[in-house]
Amino acid sequence: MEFEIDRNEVLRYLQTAKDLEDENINRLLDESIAEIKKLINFRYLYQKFPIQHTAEGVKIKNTTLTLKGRSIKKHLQKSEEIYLMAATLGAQVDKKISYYEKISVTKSMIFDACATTAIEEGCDQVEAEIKEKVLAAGNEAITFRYSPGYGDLGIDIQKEFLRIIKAPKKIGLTASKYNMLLPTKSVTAIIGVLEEKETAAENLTNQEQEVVNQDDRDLEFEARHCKNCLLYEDCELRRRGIYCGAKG
Amino acid sequence: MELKDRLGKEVIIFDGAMGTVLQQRGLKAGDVPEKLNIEKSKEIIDIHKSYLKAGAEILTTNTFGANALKMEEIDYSVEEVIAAGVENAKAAVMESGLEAAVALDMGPLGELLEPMGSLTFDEAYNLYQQQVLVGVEYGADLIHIETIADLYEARAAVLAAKENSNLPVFCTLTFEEDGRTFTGGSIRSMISVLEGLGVDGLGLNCSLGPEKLEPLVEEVLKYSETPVILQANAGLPVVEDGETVFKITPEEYFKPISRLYEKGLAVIGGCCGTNEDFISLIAENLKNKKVKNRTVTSESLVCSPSQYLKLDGINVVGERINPTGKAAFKQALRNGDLDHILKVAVEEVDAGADILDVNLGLPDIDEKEMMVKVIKELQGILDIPLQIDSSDPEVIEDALRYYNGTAIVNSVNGEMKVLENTLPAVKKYGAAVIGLTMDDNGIPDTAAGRYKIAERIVKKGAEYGISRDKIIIDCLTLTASAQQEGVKETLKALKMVREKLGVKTTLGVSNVSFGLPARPVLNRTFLSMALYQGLNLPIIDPNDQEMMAAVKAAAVLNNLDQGAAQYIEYMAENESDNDSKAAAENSGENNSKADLKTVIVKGLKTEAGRLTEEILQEKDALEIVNDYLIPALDTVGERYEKGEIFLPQLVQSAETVKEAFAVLKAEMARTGGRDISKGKIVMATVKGDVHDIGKNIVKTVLENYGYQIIDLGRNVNIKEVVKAVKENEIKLLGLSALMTTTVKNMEKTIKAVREAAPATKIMVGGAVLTADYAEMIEADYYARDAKEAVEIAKKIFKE
Repeated sequence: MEFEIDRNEVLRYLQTAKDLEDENINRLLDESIAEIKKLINFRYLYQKFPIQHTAEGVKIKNTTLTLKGRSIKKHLQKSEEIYLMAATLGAQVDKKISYYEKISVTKSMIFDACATTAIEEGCDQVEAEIKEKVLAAGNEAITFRYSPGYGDLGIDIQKEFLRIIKAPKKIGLTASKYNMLLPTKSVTAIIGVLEEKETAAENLTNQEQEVVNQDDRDLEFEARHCKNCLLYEDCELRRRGIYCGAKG
Repeated sequence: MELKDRLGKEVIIFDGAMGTVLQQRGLKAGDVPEKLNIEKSKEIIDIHKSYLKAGAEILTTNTFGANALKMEEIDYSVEEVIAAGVENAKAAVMESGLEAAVALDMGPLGELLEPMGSLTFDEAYNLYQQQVLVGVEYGADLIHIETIADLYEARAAVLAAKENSNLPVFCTLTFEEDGRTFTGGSIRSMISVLEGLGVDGLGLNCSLGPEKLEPLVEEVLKYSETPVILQANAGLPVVEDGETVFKITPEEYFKPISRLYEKGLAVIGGCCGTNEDFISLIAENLKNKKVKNRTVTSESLVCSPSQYLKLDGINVVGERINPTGKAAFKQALRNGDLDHILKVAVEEVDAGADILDVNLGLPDIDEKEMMVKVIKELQGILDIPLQIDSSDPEVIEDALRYYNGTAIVNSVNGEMKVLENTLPAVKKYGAAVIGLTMDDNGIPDTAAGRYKIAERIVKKGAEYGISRDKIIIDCLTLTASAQQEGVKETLKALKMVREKLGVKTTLGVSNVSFGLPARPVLNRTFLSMALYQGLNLPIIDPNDQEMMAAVKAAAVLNNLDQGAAQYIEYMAENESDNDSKAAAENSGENNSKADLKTVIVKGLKTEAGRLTEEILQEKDALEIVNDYLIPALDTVGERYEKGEIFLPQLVQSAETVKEAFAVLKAEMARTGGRDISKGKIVMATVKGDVHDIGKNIVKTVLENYGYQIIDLGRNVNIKEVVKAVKENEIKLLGLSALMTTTVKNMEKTIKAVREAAPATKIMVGGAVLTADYAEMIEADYYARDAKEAVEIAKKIFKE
């Protein structure tokens, strides 16, 4: 898989302006982008499951897992099938971030932001691949990727999630006792298959999407982290219900 | 014949998959297969029996994930699950009336180990130990460690197996097609490490089909003295309608297997997707056949998981991680300032060292504790193999235990007591060892005398099972100014050792010139002479470009560097390095008129140090702090607040100030002047969190304001925090947590510190924290960012 590592995305994760005029930082940025491309060992997998909407939550058939909470229920309300996906940049990226933490905090921040950009980019590509399959199968669209930790879907399902798709064995992705994905630059996500097009996220303008997602989001969570953020107004992630991880 | 006696002589047939067979029989995805040992033991026994009937001679128990971490999720204990697992396999053997050994199966723990993960090596060891003890108690015949992707985890498992049982131990890792494990481990490193630990069988399992694994297995067969195992998957799985399907047939599976058998494969079975048909075809063709002879390329090797180094040419051992004669390094050791040590290491690697010597001997520190810490930190960020430099056998033993690779031990000598105290650990961990040619009577004057000691060391090594390719002899450099005639004897001895004993040699070089003028010339000349006599491992300062150049040149002239390729590359790199350095210095000249303040605001790290040195000619350290550093920081802070600059720039400026501070601190250490530290603060990212960029930013900024930070790093145990707080009589402790799940550990840490040191104030920060949350877990202060942390520190230290 090819990675571009969009500079603007990296700058966004760094919470800076798009036209950062700082020679040093821009040089570190270019270096990091070139370096991380060589270091990425992108591994991913996904698997389709039928689901059943029950009082307890969204039950993933043929597995042990039931997804609980208001937000995931809403997210998958129009789906009968879902994809569980997992992706990782691999352990070497983590090691390099640690390396730069010892050499230069500035570089490590930038490198870390490049890694975050890369994993999101990788996931976009996986998502596109899934979408292609879904369309080929005669369905109309997919929902956006919904990860444990969004809204009120807890991260305590990480281990079970990974076990179901055998992610530890197949792509070396694990979760720690504290439900942290390791290697850290990794994503697990749930994508719903949509039979009808009109509810598809990508057909909406940003503004409409905002309205659709409004209910999906845990507003308390957002208030805590996003309200103070410089990028609150035009944050793509927030619009998608995603918390970038930065302190607001 | 017993299994152990047949191993490597006759082909031994392993069984096939368990997990995928259970799934075909309706086990849900995500379910824990081990509980079936108890709930559906008949079914498990049936599967075992089908493999027995197919011809398997080893049954693997259904205990792949039966460790305490995973068993937390079901209602049975590790003991119950493993006991039932072993009993099921035994029952199958009994009921079938066939003969087979029962292997206690141990897979990966499911969590990543340090440094990538939060599970410590000791925790991993304990989890495996628990499994081994139960397996032994219930009568397993061997221990089979499999599907491991992290060499560190494999080491923990093998040590647990060997230290808690007398059973044969097999260990197989899982590789991707490029010959690397997920964590970056190489085949050669796997062989070196596992063979070093003395496993009875090693090899590959899972991940791919036998055809894809064939070249990788060939590599193992070429280099492993130990019998080689293969349990491949039935090809790559394909997901069809949510079902995982393996598509290759037993016949297709067998083809590459039969080719590998011809090359010497000794133990053969199947992994995911295989069933009794696969095993039966292998057994029909290969059971009881003699293992084919193979020629093993044996060589001296040191390694980290991802880097291995053949000791056949000339390899530079970096000598800089050593406190002797270095005030700043000593101070760093006493302060537990690992960053300083790591920076020295990184410099050595960048300068071209092949191996790093690690010496932390300082009378007033706990060398053992520090050695383990430093080794873990070094292997957390670097891939270079390490040389453990200590005279204390306990330090050596611990260092070898926690080092993830094959290390060199520096050193033993000809004294019987030293040999007997140190060689057992060298053997146990498969390390290489340096023998100094001296003994109770000192250093013999003559080459013959030193050779004799070398001979004794080699002989003693052999008694402990340490082969010659793991022994490196140091004929000891003498000082030309004091023992001029001795210098030649060293070189003579070196040659004798190389030629007659056939072992590798090492020398610390720079001692030769002590007490004479123009030392570099003597050092370089001596180095060249020694290299000509066959010196393999010069221990030098790799930052010394002249010495490095001499090494590279000698490799050309001794016909070791084919086509002078490495020489040319090194010289080209150096030239461009020097050019850019010169350019940096030139630009520095332009800036020398510039204010230090401007340099800080712009974040020009390299210039800050130089300018500070200049200003130090006229002003004292405290003046520089107050007149330059603090105002610059204030400007940067203001610009950040106004949104004129952003976080990376703020941090960059902070790191620039840190450079200036480093110069001031060095000056203080040199002149013994007044301490400019405003107070000590302990900082740590709590247990469970493996990232600490946020904490590092806060640390850098606090350092800028003159506070001395004792940084305990990340994933820090509660005990360690309490210890550091008490030992240093800490007034302010800073804790960081990134996840809601680890805030619980923060709370526990706070509680423990409160009990041990009630007067210590605690500030907390991190992505998920809020002021309310901080109050709830009874922290004294919540620091939203670095600036607030500074304000809190000012309050505590009452400025």
